[in-house]
Amino acid sequence: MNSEKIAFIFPAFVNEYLGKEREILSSLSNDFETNLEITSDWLGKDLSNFQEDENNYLDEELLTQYITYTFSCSISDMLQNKGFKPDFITGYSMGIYAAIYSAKSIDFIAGLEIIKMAYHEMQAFLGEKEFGMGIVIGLSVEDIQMLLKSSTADVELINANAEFSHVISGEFNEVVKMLDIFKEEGALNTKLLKVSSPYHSKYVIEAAKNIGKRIQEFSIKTPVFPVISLIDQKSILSSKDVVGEISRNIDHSLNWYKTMQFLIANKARTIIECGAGNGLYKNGKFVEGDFQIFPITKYFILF
Amino acid sequence: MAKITENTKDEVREIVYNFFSEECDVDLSEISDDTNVIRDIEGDSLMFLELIELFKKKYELHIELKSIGKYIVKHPAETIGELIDTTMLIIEFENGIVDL
Repeated sequence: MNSEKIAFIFPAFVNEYLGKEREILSSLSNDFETNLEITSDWLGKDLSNFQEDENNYLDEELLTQYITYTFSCSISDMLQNKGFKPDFITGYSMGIYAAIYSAKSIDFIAGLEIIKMAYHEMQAFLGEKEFGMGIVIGLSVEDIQMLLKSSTADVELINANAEFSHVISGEFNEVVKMLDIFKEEGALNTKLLKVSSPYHSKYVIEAAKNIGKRIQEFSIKTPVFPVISLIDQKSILSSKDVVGEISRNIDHSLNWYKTMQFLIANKARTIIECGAGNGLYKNGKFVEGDFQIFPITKYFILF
Repeated sequence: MAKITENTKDEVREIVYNFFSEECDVDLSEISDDTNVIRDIEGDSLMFLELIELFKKKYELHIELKSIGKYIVKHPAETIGELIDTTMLIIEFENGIVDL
């Protein structure tokens, strides 16, 4: 009996497209074109001219979230229609919405509406202050925590992508200041993300509470496939758990590295990155184990 | 500390060229010592991290990443040639690179 398992992993917002996502997906199914039309109709904005290298809306955070979600859901539809059934599903950061769609907990439009609601709730609580997130490559978690502790900057470590790749969140100027300090103290590189909200941090606790209340307005079903939490790596198996996770995902720190280790320890050998870009594939290179990650450019190996 | 031989630089060069050719999906003939890793072939810092890990295993190096980071901040390596030179220093000096 083959006990090897399949995991679908969903990226957060795209920061950079590879430039051939739409072409690859169109060669495999019509799902993206169909879903992009649905997103356009729902949004009241024609997105048919979307191109990865031009007209890619990367400077429009909410629109990028809709397009990222549309890509991810379309890939999930395509894979499931071709017979791939995931043993595990997990979503990186805001990839949670496509993850719960893939687990059949919400329908496509509900996902768009939840993204919109969550974004506006966040913005309402953040007010005039500028916030941001950044990536630190090459420092250990201990070094980052020590430097955060010894500085006056009010910045939080909110995710581990790999042993030497981490994400911070906080007020924009403070994040910029800390990224400079990390570089001076030996980070191989640091980078600001194209995000204006301090996701997964204490700054959004009040927004998370409101999102937790408003999420009750949506029809959320029991997931058909287990969704793995990035917060504690537990399986989310009921609609109540999904509701709780959507709210927790806003203001709790995550651990992608640990989640990947959990998947591999539980025999996930074929891990499919369901989304545009290949960020999760790149991070996966720093996880030990007998597994393979398939980003969109390697889907041809699967069929 | 790894033993540097006459062949080490050729070996490092071959590994670096093949690595970026594969990672960036670029033909070997399109890469030269003057190729800018980020601008010309769309490489990134995660690739650099992966390359360091590869050399750490190959040459059994005992070096902290932050030592390399502290060197890089003063001596940025942007081209393939500069990356090869930096790698040679990493192999030769390990954590001592920070004092160069």
